[in-house]
Amino acid sequence: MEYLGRVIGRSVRHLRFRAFYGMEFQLGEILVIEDEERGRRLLARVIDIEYGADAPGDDWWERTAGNMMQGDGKGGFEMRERERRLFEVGACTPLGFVDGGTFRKPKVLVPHFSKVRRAEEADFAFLTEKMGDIEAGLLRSGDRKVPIRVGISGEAFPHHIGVFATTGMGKSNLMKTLAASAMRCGRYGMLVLDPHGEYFAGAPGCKGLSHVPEAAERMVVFSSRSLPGAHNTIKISAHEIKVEDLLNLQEYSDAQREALHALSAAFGNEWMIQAHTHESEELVEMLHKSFFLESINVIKRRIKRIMDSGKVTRDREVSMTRTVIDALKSAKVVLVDTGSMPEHEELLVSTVLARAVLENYQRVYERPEDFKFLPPALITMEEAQRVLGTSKGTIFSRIAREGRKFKVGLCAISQQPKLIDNQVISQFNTLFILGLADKRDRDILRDASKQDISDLENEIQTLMVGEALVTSPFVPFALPLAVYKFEDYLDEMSASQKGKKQKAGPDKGFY
Amino acid sequence: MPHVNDDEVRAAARYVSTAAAQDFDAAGGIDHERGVLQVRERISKGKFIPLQRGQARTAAAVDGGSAIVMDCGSFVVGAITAGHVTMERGKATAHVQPLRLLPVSQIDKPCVYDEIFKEALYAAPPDAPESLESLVGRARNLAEWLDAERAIAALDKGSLLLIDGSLWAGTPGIRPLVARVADAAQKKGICLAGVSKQSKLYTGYRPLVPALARLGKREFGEACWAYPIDLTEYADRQFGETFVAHLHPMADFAFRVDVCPAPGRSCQDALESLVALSNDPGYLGYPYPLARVHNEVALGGELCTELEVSLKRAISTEGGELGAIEEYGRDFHKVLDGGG
Repeated sequence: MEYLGRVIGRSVRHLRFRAFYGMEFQLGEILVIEDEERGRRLLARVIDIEYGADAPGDDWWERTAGNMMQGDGKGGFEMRERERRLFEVGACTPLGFVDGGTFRKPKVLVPHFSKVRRAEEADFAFLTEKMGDIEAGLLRSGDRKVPIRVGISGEAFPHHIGVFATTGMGKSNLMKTLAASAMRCGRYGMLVLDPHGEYFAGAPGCKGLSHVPEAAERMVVFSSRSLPGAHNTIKISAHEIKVEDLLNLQEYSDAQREALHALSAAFGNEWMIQAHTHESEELVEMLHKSFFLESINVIKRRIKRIMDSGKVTRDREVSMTRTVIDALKSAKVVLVDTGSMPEHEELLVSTVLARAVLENYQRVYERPEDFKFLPPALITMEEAQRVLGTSKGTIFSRIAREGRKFKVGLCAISQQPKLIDNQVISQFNTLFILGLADKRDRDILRDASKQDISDLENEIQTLMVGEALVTSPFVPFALPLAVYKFEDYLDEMSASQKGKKQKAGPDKGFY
Repeated sequence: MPHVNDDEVRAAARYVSTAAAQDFDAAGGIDHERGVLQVRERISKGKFIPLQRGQARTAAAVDGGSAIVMDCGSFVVGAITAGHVTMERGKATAHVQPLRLLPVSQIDKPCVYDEIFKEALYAAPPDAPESLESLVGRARNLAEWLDAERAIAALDKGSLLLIDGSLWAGTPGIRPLVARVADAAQKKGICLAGVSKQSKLYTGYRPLVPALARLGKREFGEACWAYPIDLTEYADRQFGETFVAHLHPMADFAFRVDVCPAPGRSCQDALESLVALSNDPGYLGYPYPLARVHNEVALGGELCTELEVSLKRAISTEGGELGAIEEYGRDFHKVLDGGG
């Protein structure tokens, strides 16, 4: 038990303690305050660290520093009894009492001058049962890793997840880890939309989801380009594209919008094929000359571009969506690598898939017996601010609003949460907050978080690569997380799989 | 707010300017108990002694603290303590005497003082203090010298014992106690040094120590030095030799230092040992053990408040009429100044 200091104040929400000189503790570190009178422990998180000294007068600091600066040149100096005179003051926010195996929110004070010590693994034992089956990393105290696995429950997928970080802080690593864990767990579906094409094989020097030992059995891959491994080609049917999809992807004038809706009304889910097949003049006639030729020309040009992309088929039966949905229902990870596709195509494919999943799950919802066994599905969307800027309109906003009921969750990944609509972001029950440079982004998350993280501004500002905070109503407090390095996690998975195989092998003595 | 008359300000300024410029030909204003002394000798630049940093050696420092915890005018409850800090190889050990409470009134003041004085000197005091506050002050002074005896008993030969204040037997009848301490130090080979934070040595109208500090800085710049002060005419009360010393080259302050060197050692040797102790940046130019012991024995406001609360609680327990006592202690100044 590393004794750090004693409590010196000051309220039930903010504790301060004096630490021994030279006893290093960190911002974000979780400490234990011993309530010896009641035989329980209070966990508290360091939110600030200040200088302290047993020194007379307010100007002692300036005077002493001045004397040292002068002494540097002449006469020298020797600060005597540093250990007795100097100290650090830790400001903490209490997390909760651990009393036996139970955890309770802190509503009372610990006794005056209670002892403060560094937390040990056993102090976090109560967390183990609250950690879910989708692993993300290890508990972190400051920058020290505590061997307690931190994760979220896949059952919480439909409650939506936000992953927010500035570029380079470890979003992709976290997402690969979550996907690998989902494969290992095998109880939840996960649709990973990968516009950067970095998840399958991994970026140079890094591994990808194809390296996950369970990938062959538990991952289905679609790609628009050739990948070094088994994969399917991205194809969606024109029948699956709705007018709203195009409206969300491209700018249209009022007249063009009306024309699009008229096409949809006239041809149903064949509207796009009809618009592509017929000449503009014919379409004007078919729409009873209600629209100018110029409007129809614009629409046709855009539809032609989509149809010529090679990703959209005219055949109702030729589409990836059925396979994607089946895989999700089989609790598999579906990776859709759109790395080589232009943004509007990538968004179109993502939109069609997301809607297909939601609508399919909605249909299953009507059959309670089937719905009971339907594994929750999570749809991950990179650069989510592109499709979540408003609370209405895109399928992704709709999933954020309605998906929970149908076991479909959205995992929004973004480096600019401030661009996501407030109503949408408030739907995310679980947030993975990694390093975020922009204060406005941090403010948005502070307000959206399901736990009070208003005191953690300093900690969030100092998050290093691979460090995160996890907030969720399913964990007792905002958990500091050291995300697994994906490659290390793979090694561990391989080792554990090897162990399992050995265990399951034939009993040599039997023969 | 009273009106400020510019003529009054100018007249005061003229007086201060003249006094500050007066040299050493004035006399008077001596107060033996408080050690207010006039130094008649003329300052000579040639008498400054340059000091080097001496060897670090074991040093102890003695100080006392006192306060009036409860003041009802005709009776008070004073509190005193004394203690010493020993510093050896950078480690400090504090030995502080338990707090002693002195309930005393105008009526029994002589008896109380008689008892305290006899404890220290085994004889009756030649006088009684004028006020209850001065009784408490004298009791603290006696406690300090008694603690110095304890410190000497614990120190090894060659050590240095620092006293907070001068080696001046100002309190009537106290000389045998100071002599006892000085003798014990001599016999044990311990150097005794008294360092005064606020000297009452004057030269004419001017305070001697800052005047010498100013001169020393002008003449020697950033250097350690000592200036011997001749107090032989006060030999009946003064112990050791007196200096004004500047103990760190960059220090803003100089101090009066009285030195009784150990047999076979010089005053300069003792002063240079003080230089070695005076380089803590928190208290540059002041011996660190004295700063440390000062903080150990200081009876600060919080402690006094705590004492007052304990005292009042005990008064109730003992059957005293706390309401009356609180009324006796009421002070309208506190109301005026916002404290009551």
